[in-house]
Amino acid sequence: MGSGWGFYITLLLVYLGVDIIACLGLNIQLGLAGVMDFAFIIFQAIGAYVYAIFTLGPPNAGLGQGAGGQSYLWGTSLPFPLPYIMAMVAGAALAFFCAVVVLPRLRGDYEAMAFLVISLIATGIVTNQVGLFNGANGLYGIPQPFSGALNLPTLQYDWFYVGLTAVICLLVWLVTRRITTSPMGRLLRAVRENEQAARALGKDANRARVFAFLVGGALGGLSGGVLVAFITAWAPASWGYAETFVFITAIVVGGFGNDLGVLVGVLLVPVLFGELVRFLPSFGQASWVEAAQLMAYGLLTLLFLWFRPRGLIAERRRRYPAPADSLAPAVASSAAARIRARLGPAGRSR
Amino acid sequence: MTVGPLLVVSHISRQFGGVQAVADASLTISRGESLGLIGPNGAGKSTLLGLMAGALAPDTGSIRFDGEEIAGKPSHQVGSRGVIRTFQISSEFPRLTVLQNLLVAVPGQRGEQLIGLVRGKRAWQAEEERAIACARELLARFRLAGMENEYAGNLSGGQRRLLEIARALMARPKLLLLDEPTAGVHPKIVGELREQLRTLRDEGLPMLMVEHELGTVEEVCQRVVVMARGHVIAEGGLAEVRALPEVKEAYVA
Repeated sequence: MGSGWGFYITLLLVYLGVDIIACLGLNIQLGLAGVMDFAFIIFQAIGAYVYAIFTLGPPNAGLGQGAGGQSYLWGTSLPFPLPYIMAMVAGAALAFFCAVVVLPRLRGDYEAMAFLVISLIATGIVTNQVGLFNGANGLYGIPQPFSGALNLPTLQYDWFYVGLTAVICLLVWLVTRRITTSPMGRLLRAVRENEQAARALGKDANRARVFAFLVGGALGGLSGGVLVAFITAWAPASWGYAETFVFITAIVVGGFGNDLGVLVGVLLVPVLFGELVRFLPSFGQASWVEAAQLMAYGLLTLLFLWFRPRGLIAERRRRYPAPADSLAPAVASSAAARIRARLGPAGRSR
Repeated sequence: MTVGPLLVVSHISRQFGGVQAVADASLTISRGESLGLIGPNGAGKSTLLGLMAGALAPDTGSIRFDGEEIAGKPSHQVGSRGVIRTFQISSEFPRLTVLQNLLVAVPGQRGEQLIGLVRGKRAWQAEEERAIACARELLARFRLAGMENEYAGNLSGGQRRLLEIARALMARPKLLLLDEPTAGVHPKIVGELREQLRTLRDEGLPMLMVEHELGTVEEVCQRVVVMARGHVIAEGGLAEVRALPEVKEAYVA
């Protein structure tokens, strides 16, 4: 196996990890809380930018230009793991801003539209405000964690980074499971199913939705940090609004609201399917290939929504263990017996 | 805490566009009372219930629950004070199981708060187990025990009604607001629903019931309030109210 394959496989594994982090976050928003976040990619984007400015160091005073003649607003250089944490904080902060604008008022299709528009606005701002994150050229030469200290050959460093990504993925998985299997996860599902009813039971549905949205935003930001520290460059072309739909396709294929389904979806869609469509025959203009890839994702989403709307691994029913002591069922069945005796056979439900 | 009536609605009004849905309506629910709210279609009964539950904000007027003003407060704040409503159209959480539907309703769960999530399962496992035991008892009482792992969306219409009342009880209501609890339910299950509501009344749970089915009102409610065209036009025992000429006229008109 030549080193070309090594680079390819490490890249694919890091992408896998990044997509797992992102899709677990999006699934908390979309699958669990039912928030139609069609702007998810902006959380990954801001995470990547913030990771970059917290590692690149300050831009030169006066010129506003830093490493490699890039212009950006402000910068510093923090040690691991602080830039990743800042990426998460930035994702959550942007999510909070979006939540304040969108979540209290809009639902369903309108919510989706608002997020789509926010995604377009974000691209417009970052592309045209060149002083912010170097405009359309983007930021590059972004430092990698421990690369100086380890001083490894590139391929070995890449394998090291795969390991780092795996550790972060594991942590994200544990945090996600803690939320989805808790009473909070149950409340979020209830809000998704019938928000009015949840509110009537005294539950602050909006607070729950905002919470889910912030967690999703933070994970989106983290995924951006993990990605950009590996590929070392980030520009608006990397985070067009259509990228969100790749994540949504993964969740639809894997299974809405199911963490395990999300893992399967990520493995199958952006990684396996995404690599396969790379080998689509290239004919016509060069732009055709990229367009065909997006079309393939769209087609895949449609097929699943038609024929298998709950995905490959549907959200599972939570069963609760029978009571350990036999007291509870005895009480329950005696209460049932009392009612049954009073009602008589005529009152039986079917 | 206070000794006065449980709920006092005074001079409440609400318009939709040009339609005066509720006009200067007042009513009182005493502690332990079960009150029927009846009237012809379009009388404003459901709107009034929505106003009490915080689903709608009134244009004018006041609603005091246990001495505290709740008019215009959002529904989750009204709900967390113990005013729990059910809906005219069944509002179960279809993709949660029957048992989970009940568990969601438990107020003030630690596992729904950030601190509970940070501390993990040990922070909320004990309260969860108590809630599960309590929910199973309620399910047995409402004869849904065999279906605890069924998706609520797969239940029959009547079973969903029963589930919705059981879920409301799980929220530890101080006042239950029922919006047409027997609407669209098979007559056989109507009997069972009445039986359950009577039991709740006998246990002293205060409730207000909007209902077209006067048989249910007669069996369950101690007193009725009659509305027509947004106004409260009569109140008293069902039999005496039915004899009043203005009530007869309202139902005919």
